[in-house]
Amino acid sequence: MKTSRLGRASELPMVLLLVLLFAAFSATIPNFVQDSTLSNILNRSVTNGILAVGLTLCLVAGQIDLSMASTLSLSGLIFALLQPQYGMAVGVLAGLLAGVLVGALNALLVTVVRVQPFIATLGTLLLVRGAAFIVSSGRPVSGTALAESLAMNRFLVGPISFRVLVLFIVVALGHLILTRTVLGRDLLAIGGSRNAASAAGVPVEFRLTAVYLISGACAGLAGVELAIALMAGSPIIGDTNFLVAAAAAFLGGTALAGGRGSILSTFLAAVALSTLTAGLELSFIGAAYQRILTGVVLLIAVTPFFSGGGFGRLLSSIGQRLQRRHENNTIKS
Amino acid sequence: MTTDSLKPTTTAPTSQVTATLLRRERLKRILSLGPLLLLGLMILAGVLFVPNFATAKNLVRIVQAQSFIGMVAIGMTFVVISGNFVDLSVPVSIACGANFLMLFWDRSIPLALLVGFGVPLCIGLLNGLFVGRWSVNPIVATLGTSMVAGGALFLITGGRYVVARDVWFRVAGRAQPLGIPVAALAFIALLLISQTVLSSTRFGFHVRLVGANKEAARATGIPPIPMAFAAFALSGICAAVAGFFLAGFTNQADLSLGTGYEFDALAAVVVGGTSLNGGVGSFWRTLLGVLVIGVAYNIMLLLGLNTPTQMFMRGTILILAVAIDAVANRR
Repeated sequence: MKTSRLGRASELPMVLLLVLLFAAFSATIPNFVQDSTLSNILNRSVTNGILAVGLTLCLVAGQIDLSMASTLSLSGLIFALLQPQYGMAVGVLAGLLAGVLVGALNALLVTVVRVQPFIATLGTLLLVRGAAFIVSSGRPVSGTALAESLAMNRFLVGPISFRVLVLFIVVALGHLILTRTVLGRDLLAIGGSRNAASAAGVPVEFRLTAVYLISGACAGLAGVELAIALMAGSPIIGDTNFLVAAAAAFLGGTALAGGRGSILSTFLAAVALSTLTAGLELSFIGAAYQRILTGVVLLIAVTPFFSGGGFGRLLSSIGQRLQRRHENNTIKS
Repeated sequence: MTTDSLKPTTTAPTSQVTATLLRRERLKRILSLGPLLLLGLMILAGVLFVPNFATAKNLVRIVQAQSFIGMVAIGMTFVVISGNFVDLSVPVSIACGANFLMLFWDRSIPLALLVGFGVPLCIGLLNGLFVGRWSVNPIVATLGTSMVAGGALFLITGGRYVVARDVWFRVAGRAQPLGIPVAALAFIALLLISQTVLSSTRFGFHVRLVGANKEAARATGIPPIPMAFAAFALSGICAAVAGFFLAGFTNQADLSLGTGYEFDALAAVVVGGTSLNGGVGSFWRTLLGVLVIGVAYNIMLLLGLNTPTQMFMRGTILILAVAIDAVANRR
């Protein structure tokens, strides 16, 4: 069955980018392609990837959730504080609940009070950051869940650990929501034109509430997952993760104005960014350069050439040309 | 923002519409008095209930601390009025200004001025390029430029403290002729110049027009793109000025010198009542906002609230301010 690709960014450019990065690093770093590097790249992508999925769902509806950065920290801290006393289940649930509550506050500000999403979530970003500093007294909190932490990082199949499995599940769910559900269709419609969507009978406020709850839950999940993996929570851990997640979403072709985006493409972009940092680290290039490079990638990804799809078209046309050449060669031989 | 403009207002009786408009107009007028009222209430509460609030020493302390935020807020006001929303790169501009000024001052003052003000200017122009020319969302663009510039600054200074020996820094930061800090005098001078530029020059008029309606401005022959460049460039310069005085005040500069100033400045602008939708606002409102924020922080400090609680309160103040702004400017 041929499904409509309306409003979906193509995944092809990100596949090509990933192939290019792997080719470049395999050429310059000996033994780059091996299980340990692959698991390193995938493990690095987990937190950023989960954030980026929630963020992409916001972005396609023309929204943004800046508070994800500090929500991640708060959820991780809540988990790390509750887990030693009340056990794993309570810790995880409380962390997730914190994320959903922040999402609810964002939804309230955006749909009822009608503050612009950027400013509303900027406010909650500060509020939640303050809350994270209050619950932790500004210090990292270490957990005691050693067995669970090891289990998170244990390999299930090849380079895929339990953490990576969680990421895959979130990506799959996000992809299904965006492509196969009424919610996804409505989000794309709202992002395309809010007035038109509203006129066509889309319950805009209701859908936006749903999307902020989802992004809050994603941030909560990312925070809890990271806290389990690191056996600690920290009030400032989420800031860089969020920037990388945003870079992934924009690089993946999600339009900042809304109406276009693909979860798979975002996921591939997150993996590509992890590949980039992993490769730079293996080439012994320092953290400051990595920060500069992430900023440069973020800025390049939001220029019209990329966000308007020019980059995607360029890479697609290269891909098609390569494919044609390959076909010609096979015909000749 | 304009989602409700499609709702069929014409079907309602005219008298009802007029009544709603009048009520909204009244609400707006009351809310525009809000900051002044709030300031009065806070000062009253401070004088009555907070020990050591109403002393000359404390007054100087408020004025001193707020003049740094105020300088940044002046640049931010240009950005907000011109319809460019927010400049989150000010912390890095402050840090760049302070670090480069201190780094080169002892060697050559012209070089220090050139680099110390040139780099923040370039950050501002880069923001203008992305936001004005390429219509990138201001938050994303200014975060991106600050990541790049912050990383570059880290490479240059290695994250170490930078100190200049020259006495002018200490004069700028600490001297108090007639009991008034030099930084406060500079802030007031900057404020007066900015207000004059905004209210009685062609440039100021264009900034307001572009902020109010970009398409209309374009149609009347005022290009919006140079205004975005100018607004962000002014924001960078103002941040560098704040960085100069701040470096003098703390007697050293490092990477985190400007942390938090973007939110404080934005809160001051919004609390003063300048609309985030652009086009409307004045520097007197910003001054009012700066004072409100200053008195609020000072009271929190005197009451002995710890830093996390203060951060939490800052977030709350910003959210309340933008919520009131959203309600007041609802269409």
